[in-house]
Amino acid sequence: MTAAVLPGFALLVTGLFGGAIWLLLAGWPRQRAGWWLALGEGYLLGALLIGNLLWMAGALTTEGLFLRSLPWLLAVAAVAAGLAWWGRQPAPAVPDTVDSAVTRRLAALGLLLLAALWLVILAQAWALPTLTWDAWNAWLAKAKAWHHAGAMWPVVELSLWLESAPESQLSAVAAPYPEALPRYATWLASAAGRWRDGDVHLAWPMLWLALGASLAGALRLRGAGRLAALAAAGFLLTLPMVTAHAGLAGYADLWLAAALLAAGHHASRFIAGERRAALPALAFTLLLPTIKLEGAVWMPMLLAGVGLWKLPPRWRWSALAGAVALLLLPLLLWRSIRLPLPGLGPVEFEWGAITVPVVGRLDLFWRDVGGTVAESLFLLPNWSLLFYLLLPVIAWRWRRIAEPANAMLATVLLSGTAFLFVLFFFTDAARWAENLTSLNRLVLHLVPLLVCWLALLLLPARPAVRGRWR
Amino acid sequence: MSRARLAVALALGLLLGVLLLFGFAGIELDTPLRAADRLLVEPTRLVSRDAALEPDGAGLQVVGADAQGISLLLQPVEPFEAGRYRHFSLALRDLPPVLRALLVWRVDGELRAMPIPGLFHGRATLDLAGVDGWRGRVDAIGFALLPTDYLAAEPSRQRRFGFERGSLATDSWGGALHALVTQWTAYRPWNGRSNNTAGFELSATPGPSLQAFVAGLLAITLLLALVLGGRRALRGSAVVAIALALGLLAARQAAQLVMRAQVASSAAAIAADHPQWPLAAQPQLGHEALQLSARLDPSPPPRLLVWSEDRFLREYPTWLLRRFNAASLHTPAQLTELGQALPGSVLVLAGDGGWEYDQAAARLSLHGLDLSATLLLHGSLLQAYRLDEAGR
Repeated sequence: MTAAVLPGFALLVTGLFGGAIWLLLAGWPRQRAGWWLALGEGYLLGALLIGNLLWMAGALTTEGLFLRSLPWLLAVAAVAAGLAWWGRQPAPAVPDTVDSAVTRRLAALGLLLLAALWLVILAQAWALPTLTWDAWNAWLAKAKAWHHAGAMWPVVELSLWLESAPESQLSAVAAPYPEALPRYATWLASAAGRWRDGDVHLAWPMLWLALGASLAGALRLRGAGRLAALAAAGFLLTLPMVTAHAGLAGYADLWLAAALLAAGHHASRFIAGERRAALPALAFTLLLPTIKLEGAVWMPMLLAGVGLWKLPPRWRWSALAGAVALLLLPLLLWRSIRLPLPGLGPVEFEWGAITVPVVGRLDLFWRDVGGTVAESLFLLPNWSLLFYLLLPVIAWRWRRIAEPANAMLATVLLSGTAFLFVLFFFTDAARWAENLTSLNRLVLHLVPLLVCWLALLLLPARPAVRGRWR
Repeated sequence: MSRARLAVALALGLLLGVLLLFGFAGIELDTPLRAADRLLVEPTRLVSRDAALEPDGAGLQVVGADAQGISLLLQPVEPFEAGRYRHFSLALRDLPPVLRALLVWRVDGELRAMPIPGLFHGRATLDLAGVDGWRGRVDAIGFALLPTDYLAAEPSRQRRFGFERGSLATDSWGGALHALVTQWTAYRPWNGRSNNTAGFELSATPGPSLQAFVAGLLAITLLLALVLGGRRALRGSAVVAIALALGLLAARQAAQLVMRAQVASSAAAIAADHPQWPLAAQPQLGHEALQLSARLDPSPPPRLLVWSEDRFLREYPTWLLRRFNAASLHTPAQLTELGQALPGSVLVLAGDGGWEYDQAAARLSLHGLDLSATLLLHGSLLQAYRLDEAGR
C-alpha cells in the first residue's frame, strides 16, 4: 500500500465508527438528506470520540495503536449500526423535496466543483509541512512528541518536566490545552506507521468536506432544495478563513466551528419538536470543551439557549429575568460571583474584572478596536459578503426569527456575539483584535452556525411535520 | 419593468459601476490630459551578478541564482525622481511556480524592494503610488526572483525563465486599471498570518478591497432595481445579483486555492529531490535541525532544551526536533533552571548570540551561567551543545 492509503484508511475507519454512533444517536435516516448528515457529522463525531477515548486511556503506547484499536472500533461500529437499523422507523408520509431537472443538474455541477476544490485543498494539506504557529506549537506538538516517544506520556509545564525522570513526561508550551485532537492526530500517525506532517494534515480537508455535508444535510432536512442547500454549503466552504483552516492544517478552530454547527442545528430541531435530535445535540455539545478551551464558553451558551426556548412561553421571560437576577444579586451583594465552568475551572466575576484560572485576571474597560474589527469583517478578504448580508437578511426575514427553532439559534448567536464583544472590546484580548490574531478565529467558531441560521431564515416557511426531520 | 426603464437602469448602473471602479483604482479623471512618459527595462542593459543572461529573441533567458536563491537583474538608468512614474509593468515567461518576484530599485546606493503580485501567469502591473520607499532619486531599476518562503534557497537555484519586457510608466487609466486587476487576481501566497487573517499576503497594507467593491456594485444594482422597478423588480433581481456576487468571490477564492496547490506541489516535488532541504516555515532551520538530528542518537531520545531571545526561534526548532524529548525555555529566567538539566541533555541555542563558547575549555557562557558543554552543531541559525556532568 502506498503511504497515502494507510492514513486514508484511518480516515475511513473514523467515518465508519463515527457514522455508526451517529446513526445510533440520531436514528436511521428516513430521507436521503439524512445520509448527508450521517456522513459529515459522522466523521466529525468519529474523530472527536476516538480522540476523547484515547485521552481517557492515558499513557498508551503508540506503537501499533491504530491496528490495536481497529477491531474494537469496527465492532462497536457494527453493533451501533445494527442497533440503529433494528430501531429504524418507516419513511415519512411527506415526500422528499422535489427539485426540477434544471436545479438537479445545477446541483450536480456544484457538487462536482466542490469535489474538485476538495482535491485542491487535499493536495495542499498533503504537500505542505505544518507551517502555521499554533499548529506546530500547540495542536500537533503533543501528537508528534507522543508519536516519537512511543507512548502518550503526560505533557507538563517546563519546570515539572525538568524535575521528572527521563522518558516519563513531555513538555509543550500549550500543555494544559484539551487533548482530543492531538490524540486523534497520533492515532492517524500510527496508522501510517511514521510521522509525516502531510499524513496527519489529511484530517483537515476531510473536516472541510464534513462541514459542507453537515450544513447541506441540515438544510435539506429543514426543507431546503438540493441547489439551495448546496449553494449555502458552497458559500461556507469557499469563505477564505474556512479554506485557510482546511488547507493550512493543524488548528482546532474549524473543528470547534463544525461541532458547534452540529450541536446548534440538532438543538434547533429539538426545539422544533424532534425529541430524538436531543441525543446528537447533547453529544456534540458535550464534546465542545474537549476540542478547545473556547468550547467551554460555547457549551453553556448552547445549553442556556435550549433551556430558555424549551420553557413554556409564559415562563420564558420570567426565567430569563430570574437567571439574570441570580447572577447579578451576588455581584451586588458581595461584589463577586464564582461559577464553575467545565474546561475552564472556577471563573470569578467581579465588577470590572473576570478571573479565569487558565487565562488569569481580565480587567474590564473599553478598548477602541472598532475600526480594526470592522476592517476585518468587511474589507479584508476573510468573510466574502457574509457580514454585508447579515443585517439585510435579518431585516427582510425578521418574522421568521420569532419561530422558536430559529429564535433559539438567534439566542445562541447573540450571546456568542456578546461574549466576543466583551472579550475584544473590554479585555486585554483587544490586542488580539488589534493585531488580527485570534479575532477571526473566534468569529470562525460561530460562522457555520450563522450561515445555517441565515439559510434557515431564507427558507420558505413550512409547517413542521413531526418525525420528518431525520 | 418597461424597456425604457430597463435601458435607463442599465445605463445608470454602468455609469455608477465605472465610477466605483475608478474610485477603487485611484484614477484621476484628468489623467489623459497630462503628458505620458515611459522608461523601458531593456534586455541589453540588464545586468546580473549571479544569474547567467542569454539573449532570446527580443528578450532574455535567465539561468541560475546566488547562494540565497535570488536571481537579481538590475538596469542602471539616468537618475530620476521616483514620483515621476506611477506604474511598473513586467512580463516574464516559463516562470517556475515556486518563484516569487520583487521589484528592485536603487536610491543613494541602497537597494529597495517590494513584492510584485500577479506574476503567477507571467504578467503584472504594480501601482507605486503610496509605496513606502518609492521616493528619492532612482539610479537603477530591475527585479529579483526568489523561492517561495517555505522552500530553501539551495534546491531552487537551478532555474531558467524568460524575460519579455518591463517598463515604468506615468499615471494612466489603463495602467491604474491593470494594476487593480493585477491586485485582485494575483496569486496570494499563504503566510504566517493566513489562519488569522487574509489580506496581508502582498504587503503590510492591504490593497483596495474586492468584496467592498462587489458589495458596492450589488448595492447599486439592487437600489436601481428598487427605484426603477419597484419591490417586484428588487425581488426578481436580488437572488440573481447576490448569487452572482457571491459566485464571483467564491471563484476568486477557488482560483487562489488552485494556485496555492500548484506552488505547494511544485515545492514539495523539488524538496523531495533534495532530502537535506525539507520544506519548512523557515527552511534554513529545517535544514539545520535535520543536521542536528543526524548527530543525535534517538534511542533513548535525549532531552533537548531550546533557547533563543526570539520567540519563533525558540519554539519552531522545538517542533522540528520533536523526535527527541524537546522543550522550549519560555523566559530568560528559566535559564537558571538549566542547572537542573540532566547530564547528557542537549542545549540548542537559536539566533544570533547572547552566549559564548570556549571550544578549548569546552565551556559555554550564557546569561551568567557557566556550563561544561560539548559542541554538537554550529550552524548559521542553530548551535547545539551536549551538557556535561559538570554543567549541572
